[in-house]
Amino acid sequence: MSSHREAPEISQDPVADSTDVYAFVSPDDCTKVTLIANYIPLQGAASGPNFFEFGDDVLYEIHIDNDGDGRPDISYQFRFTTKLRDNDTFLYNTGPIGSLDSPNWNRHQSYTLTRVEARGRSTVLGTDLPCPPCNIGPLSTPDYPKLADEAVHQLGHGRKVFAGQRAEGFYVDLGAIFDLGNLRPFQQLHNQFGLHLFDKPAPGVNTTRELNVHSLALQLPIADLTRDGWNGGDVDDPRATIGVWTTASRRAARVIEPRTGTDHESGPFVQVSRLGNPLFNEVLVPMSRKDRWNSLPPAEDSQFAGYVAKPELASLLPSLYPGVFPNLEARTKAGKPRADLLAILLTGIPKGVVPGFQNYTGTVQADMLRLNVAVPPTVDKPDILGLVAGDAAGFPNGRRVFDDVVTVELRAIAGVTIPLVDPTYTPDGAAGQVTDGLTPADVKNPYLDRFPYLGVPYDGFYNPS
Amino acid sequence: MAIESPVPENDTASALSRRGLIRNAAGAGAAGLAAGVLLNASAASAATPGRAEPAAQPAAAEPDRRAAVAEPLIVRLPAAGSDALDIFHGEEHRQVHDADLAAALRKAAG
Repeated sequence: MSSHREAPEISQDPVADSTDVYAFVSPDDCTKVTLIANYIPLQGAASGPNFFEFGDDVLYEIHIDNDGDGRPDISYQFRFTTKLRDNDTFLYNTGPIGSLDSPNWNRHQSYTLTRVEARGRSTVLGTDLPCPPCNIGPLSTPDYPKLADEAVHQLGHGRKVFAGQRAEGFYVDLGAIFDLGNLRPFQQLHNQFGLHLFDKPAPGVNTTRELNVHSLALQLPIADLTRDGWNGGDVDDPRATIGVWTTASRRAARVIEPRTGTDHESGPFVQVSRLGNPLFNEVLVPMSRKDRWNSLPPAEDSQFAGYVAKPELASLLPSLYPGVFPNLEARTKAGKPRADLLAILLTGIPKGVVPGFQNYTGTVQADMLRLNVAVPPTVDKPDILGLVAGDAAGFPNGRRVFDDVVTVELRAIAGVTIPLVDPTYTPDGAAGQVTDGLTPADVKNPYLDRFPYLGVPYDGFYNPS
Repeated sequence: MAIESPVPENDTASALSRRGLIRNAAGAGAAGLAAGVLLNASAASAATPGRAEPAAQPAAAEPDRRAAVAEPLIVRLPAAGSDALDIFHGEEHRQVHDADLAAALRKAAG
């Protein structure tokens, strides 16, 4: 998946496991950027009595690099506190939750949001900001949209924040992709390892359908994020592009106390999870190095550039689908590094490659979601394939909640973006067709057209499995 | 069915949870015993303060020093035969070098 359980260590620590990062100029307010970092993957909606929540012992951060060095210039830190209203009940709630201060809601969570600048300035933007409860069902959370609206907090100067459960917006056919790359729309073309199981195409199946995540969402004036507070309209201005990623950190040392059900943690926070571009660690970095990747800042990603320049998946596609990707196979066997992928994922796309667009941040190779904030949002019929389909407001210029990043990256790895850097290369016909067969229509609860943009989370009564 | 009323004043942190103890840590155990010795040792010896690998650090924020004073600390002897001791206290990590103390702790550990 994008980054759900993408590395061995973090797959055992879901509370600190980042799943997706989104960054886009807000379609309903083009003076502001929306940043969303999702955590706690694959939440079944019926999860009582201990419903999902952020970790009080985890430091969650959304980072901004605005000078191209792959290190944070601005970080937004979220620290959570969980409290009980009644120590003597086993229940999450003892009646309908009609508001965020409802006494019926027993186990509730709030947070402090702090803005930290690389130069050392630290500003607390909000304290005791309530999260919404999880969406439980029609009796416990009868008007969930109202609760979620109450949890959108105004921070002044047009800034907003939300932290809490939302519907998973990322769609992917995980069952097919990790069954040896057997994309259902093309399964009849798969070599099937001689098993001869599929003779016709089938539609994709959304693995994340009816599952929830926990979102950290910010909406901020553009000038809060750019170098020198730049807020111009020139797409080619170097200050127009910001790099975005999220991290989760835990304290360095932990002792579990016997016979108490408690533990003690000490020491500095140490990074255990990271996410910028979707699928980077999951699909490009080998299993043996994924945990290390999660512990590093983007500034040190040059050590992983070889996996981008020669992605394993690009060499697998021609053998999994015999005769379907002959041009890709020839180029891969020739050992030519994938300058297109290096640009898209590690440096940004320089000026002159895509007419009227750039999101280049310099020579430092760093996996960040790069957003050129001077590109206005596409309000009328945005294309889920983003930049490769001519919609420069979408991935990999940032990422919107509905962008089909799986298809974009599959097609990029299959070779459709090679002509950007090598006009002599002709992509295979299949490269522009390959997909896992899903669209936003496979997401049951629709996206919102306003902050926080991800849909109402699924409740456990009507979505019990 | 319960009727909604204002938030009760006895709204409490979940002190019985593991997370609750992180905020309200009191019991020190063996690590705490070593801590008292080590604090003195680090003050007297040529301490080499150092944070964990900077690359792995989140953005710097002001540590909550009042909370740190109340917390026990955790000590690690990272390598056999080394005089280095890692001290984790509050949101700080310091490394000190004290051959005698390292040897004493190893002896105590059996």
